[in-house]
Amino acid sequence: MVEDRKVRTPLFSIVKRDDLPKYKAIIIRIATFIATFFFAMLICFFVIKENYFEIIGTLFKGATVVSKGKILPWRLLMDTALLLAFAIAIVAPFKMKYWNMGANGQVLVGALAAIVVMFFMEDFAVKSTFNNVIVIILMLLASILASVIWAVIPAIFKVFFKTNETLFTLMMNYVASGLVGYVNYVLAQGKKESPGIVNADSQAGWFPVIVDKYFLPIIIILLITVVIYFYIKKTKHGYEISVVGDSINTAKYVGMNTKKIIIRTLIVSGIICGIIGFIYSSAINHSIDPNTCGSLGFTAVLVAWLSNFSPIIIAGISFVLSFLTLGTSKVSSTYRLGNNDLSNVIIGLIFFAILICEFFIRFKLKFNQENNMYKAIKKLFSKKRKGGVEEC
Amino acid sequence: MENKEIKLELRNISKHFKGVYANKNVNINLYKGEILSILGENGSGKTTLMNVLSGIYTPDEGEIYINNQLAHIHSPKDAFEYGIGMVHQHFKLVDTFTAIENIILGLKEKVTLKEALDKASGIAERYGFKVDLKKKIHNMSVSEKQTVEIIKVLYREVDILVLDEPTAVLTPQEIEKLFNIIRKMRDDNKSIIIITHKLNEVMSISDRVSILRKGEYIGTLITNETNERELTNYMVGNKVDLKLERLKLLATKPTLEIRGLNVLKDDGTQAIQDLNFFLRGGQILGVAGIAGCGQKELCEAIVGLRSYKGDITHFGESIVGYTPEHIKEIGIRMSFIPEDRLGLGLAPNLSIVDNLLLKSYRKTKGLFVDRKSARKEALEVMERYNVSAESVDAPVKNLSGGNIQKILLGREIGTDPNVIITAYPVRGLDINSSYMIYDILNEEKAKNTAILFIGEDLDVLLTFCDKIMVLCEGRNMGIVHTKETTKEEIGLMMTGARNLLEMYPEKKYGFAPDSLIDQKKEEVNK
Repeated sequence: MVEDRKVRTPLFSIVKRDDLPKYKAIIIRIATFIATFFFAMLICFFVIKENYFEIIGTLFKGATVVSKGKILPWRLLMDTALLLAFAIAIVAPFKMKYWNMGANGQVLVGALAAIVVMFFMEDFAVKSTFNNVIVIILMLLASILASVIWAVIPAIFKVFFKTNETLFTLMMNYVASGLVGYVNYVLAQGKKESPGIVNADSQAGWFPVIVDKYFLPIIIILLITVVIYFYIKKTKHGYEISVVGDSINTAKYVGMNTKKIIIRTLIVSGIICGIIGFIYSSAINHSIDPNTCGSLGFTAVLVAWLSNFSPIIIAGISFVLSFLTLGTSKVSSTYRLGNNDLSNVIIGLIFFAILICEFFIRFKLKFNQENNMYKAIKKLFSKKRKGGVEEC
Repeated sequence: MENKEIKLELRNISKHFKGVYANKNVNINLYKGEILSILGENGSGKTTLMNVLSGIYTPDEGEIYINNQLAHIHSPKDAFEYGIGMVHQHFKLVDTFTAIENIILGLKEKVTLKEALDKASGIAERYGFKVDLKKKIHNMSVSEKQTVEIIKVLYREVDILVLDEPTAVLTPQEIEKLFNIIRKMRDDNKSIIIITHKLNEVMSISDRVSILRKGEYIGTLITNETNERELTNYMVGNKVDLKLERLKLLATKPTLEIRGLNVLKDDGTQAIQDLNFFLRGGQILGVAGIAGCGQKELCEAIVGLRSYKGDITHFGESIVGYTPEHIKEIGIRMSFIPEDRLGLGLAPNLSIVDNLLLKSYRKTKGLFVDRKSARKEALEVMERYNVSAESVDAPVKNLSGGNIQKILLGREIGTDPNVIITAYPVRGLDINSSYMIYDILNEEKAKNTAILFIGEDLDVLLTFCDKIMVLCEGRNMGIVHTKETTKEEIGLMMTGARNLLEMYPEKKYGFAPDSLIDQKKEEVNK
């Protein structure tokens, strides 16, 4: 019985790599990105059937477009900053293994609260600059309060009733966009779907513009990033977050109040979402609709994961993604593709490539000389006097 | 023995992980109809070797010969086809299935349940197993589950049986039964490998012993021609004094008194029932009991992690309802090493520094964590307890078991406790690290600390502790002085066959004659 058994050897085994120096890993990542980018553009080329390099040129121009009279590509910077802000807002809960999928909803209710304050306090705000400042501050507070409530509800349920936060926060997103639609309808007094730009004439409650409309918001987001960086790395709160995330039983055992820590962290997350919501309403849009923040809350999840929760890498990846999104939408419109699906295809490709590349940075394939298929392939190649195995 | 046929031969087996050899040039022969022990400290490569044999790992070098023919084993299924059966330390059974269903699970040929039952009960009868094959696994005791595992491999007609630490979860009586069965299998011309680190078992069961040390094959001895001391020397390399030091008892008032304690398990069943006992400073109270008879819940209740009914007093003051934080403040410390080792007490992905900070980070003022002084403390602990690690910033999960335990104990003891609760502090540690841990605990004992020592090795409990409390299904079976008891008595108490509380109700086990609780009550009455 034993003699006539077939000997089975797998074609390759997956072996853990531990000799790869850091700089090489970084070079591999960058090379992967560049290679995938040019490959993705090849797909564009086949779809559009125009000059390959012209398409790439259009993409770059579209991403870095500078408006008349400005020096910097503000749109690109603002998009980067917003994605960064969303990712920073979820980093602390994620580090705690609290999967907050509700950043979208949290920002949305914040923005809504700010809009409502702005809408009803126009008469008060126009009386003096001082009054206007008060209204802006009230908008910020209302936005933060709304976002914190939205963030803390699932946390309370998680802590006291052991509900699943992923589903809960996702559902809260739908409630938030429903709420926005309803309040818009009420504010427009049923005549239209939404009141449109609020206080378009008086500009009451609008955030002051220095250098550019986007300048101050970007500065605020950078400040938040720095604060959160120190909050996570250096403070006792940040330390507690990492312990709870790593081993909740250990945290309980050393006497940490894990319920308090989870709720407190979600309050912090909610505050950041509130500030983002405020920026949307007061500085960027001055209006609101259920799609105000697109799907940034979900993209941010990917960004936070890919960057291993490091704020600096988050900033880098946010920039790349915003660049591609803007660039490809320009390509879509220039070549009349009708919609923005091309952008999704390209970004999806790049995400996949990065994930595959991470795998090859951690592991390598070791081919088994014994395997029949390996032997066959080797034979094939040796006939052609060629050899070598491709690796990522 | 010489004229016996060789059944299995391992030639020059080497296996390494990350450049460290787990097995290096291991050569072992196994004869037909013999019991071979593989002896080695934790981390000596026993389990790696058996995983190579059962096809879970592929060796980097070396060959396996079965019946003098080269064997290619790439999966546990291959191993079965070569007639090698493995009984793992952690049973791999489907809980909601019956014994017989588990036994035939995964078999290729079609059998009716009736046929399978006949065959399995035939095997059981032949070797003297006593088990109800129609019983569901989740209703079974640990030793019954083990029996099912063994029948399962015998059913597949293996003739090489590998038992990985088979006695770890059994009472002395059950161990004796298991050994009888193993001897019967030997007489039936099967070859058996027992992996163990318990010397007394090696001496009593095996024909020959192969010794591994740090992955290297040291040699094979005939059991009758050797002794425990010689084996220990081979196993650890240098001479280790087997004797544990038991410091003299100090006369002190009870530090911790526990009355009428009732604790529930996570699933709502009773873990601890009406438990009374007390701890004195300068005394080590051992707790013996079969795994899972309430030890974990007892520890958690005392340190405030689990709710309970009953009274716990600390120097006569009730601490019922205190938070873990508050309990720590009054000087009760726990070093609890659960099976997954890193699940409680340490955060595996955090650095040594951050883990040492767990107890003290709140003490500094301000918003920020003071990692500077923690780093200094980490270096001190590492030097004092001889911890080997790449750096203080390395995640603790990368350390070996012994080093992890030293870090944990170092942190607990660094805060000057007056009660230490320690469960399985040497589980999975090699002899040298174990002795270091015992030394640390003895140092604490000398400082008048009360120590509750939950153990599993009865020899250690009997030599190291002053008294032993025996638990059986969460109930106190009695508290005995280690000088006045025997292993057999404790074994009987563990299984509930001997209940001192019922036999001598007048002795009031678990109530201190000089109780501070009673003293307080009297003062109040006056």
